[in-house]
Amino acid sequence: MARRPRQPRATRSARASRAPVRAGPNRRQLTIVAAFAVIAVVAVIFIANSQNAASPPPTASGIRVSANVMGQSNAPVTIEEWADLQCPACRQFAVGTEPQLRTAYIATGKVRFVFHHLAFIGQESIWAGEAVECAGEQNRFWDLHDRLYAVQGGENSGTFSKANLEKIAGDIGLGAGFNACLESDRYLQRVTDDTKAGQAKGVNATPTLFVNGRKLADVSIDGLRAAIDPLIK
Amino acid sequence: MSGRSAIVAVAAAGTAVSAYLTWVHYSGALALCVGVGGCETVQASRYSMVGAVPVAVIGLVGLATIAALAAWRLRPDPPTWTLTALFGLSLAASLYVGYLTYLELFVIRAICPWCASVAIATILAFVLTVRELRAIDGG
Repeated sequence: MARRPRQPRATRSARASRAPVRAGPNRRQLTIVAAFAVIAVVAVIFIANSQNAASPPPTASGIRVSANVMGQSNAPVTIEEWADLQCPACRQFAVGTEPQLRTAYIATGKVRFVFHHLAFIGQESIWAGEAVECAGEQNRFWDLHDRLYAVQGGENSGTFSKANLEKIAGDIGLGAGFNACLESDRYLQRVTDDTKAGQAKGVNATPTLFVNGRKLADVSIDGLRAAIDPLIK
Repeated sequence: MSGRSAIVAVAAAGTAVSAYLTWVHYSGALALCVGVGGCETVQASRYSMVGAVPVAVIGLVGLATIAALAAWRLRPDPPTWTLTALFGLSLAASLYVGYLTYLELFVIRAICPWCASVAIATILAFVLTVRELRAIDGG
């Protein structure tokens, strides 16, 4: 179509009813729309950030978390997990079953999930346990928990050496406070106390789950459903 | 391929990836990694939600709307407001994916290739929309 000079809007509208005209929005309209777009995005970012600052951070499923506890405090079912962060079966549970549990039961307020350490595989289990507790100081317990299972390597192979744990924590944005915490071993006692408490409860394999205090034999999602569903009906 | 068809194509591709990420979110599955790590980290980060709404759902709704508007503009003589809406929506979406990419690079420090592909599709849709505006303005 031939180039033509810009015309008043009313004239262009009149012509549009008679013949096909490639009319576009004028600059004023576009400026107003652009301003609204910028304001809308700034508002969304502001709302998201203020929610993050005001409350414990949600996990991927929007679940409220506090240290080693995930889910609402008044949930009708409490699941306690005893696990070793170096244990491959625990990893399998964490990356395979736990996301389904989070979505179906924890995010919906039906289940409160508590993680306990059973750090029995070796020194790196203890350091990894201390690391997630240190992350908990910044409300990032579950972020690091998920990350450690995602990058889990061979047992006591250096994957969870303190230097590597600091690097992994840095990768998810945990800062200098985390490193100081890990170096101080301030959560060593908690990890060893958890481990002793688990052994006293008869935990001899990981992961072991207790559903409202009852030890669960089948830790698959089907086993969990079978244990949880009767308790929430 | 015309500019209008290209907007439909990139927005549809972005919609498909967003739909996959939404499925990953609600199914509790892990996103398929495609050579670069960081999928789980981004997926598990606090920034994957805005209130109770997963970011993947925001992407799905936004890109599906952009694709629908762009498809509407394939018809003869589409209303002017569709182009205005396309401009506003793709601008807002581009600003938002720019912010999310900043978070991935400098805060979460992990890159999710799926999210990056949605960001590229979104920015391409905006660039193509601006090109169409300029063509009309100049043509």
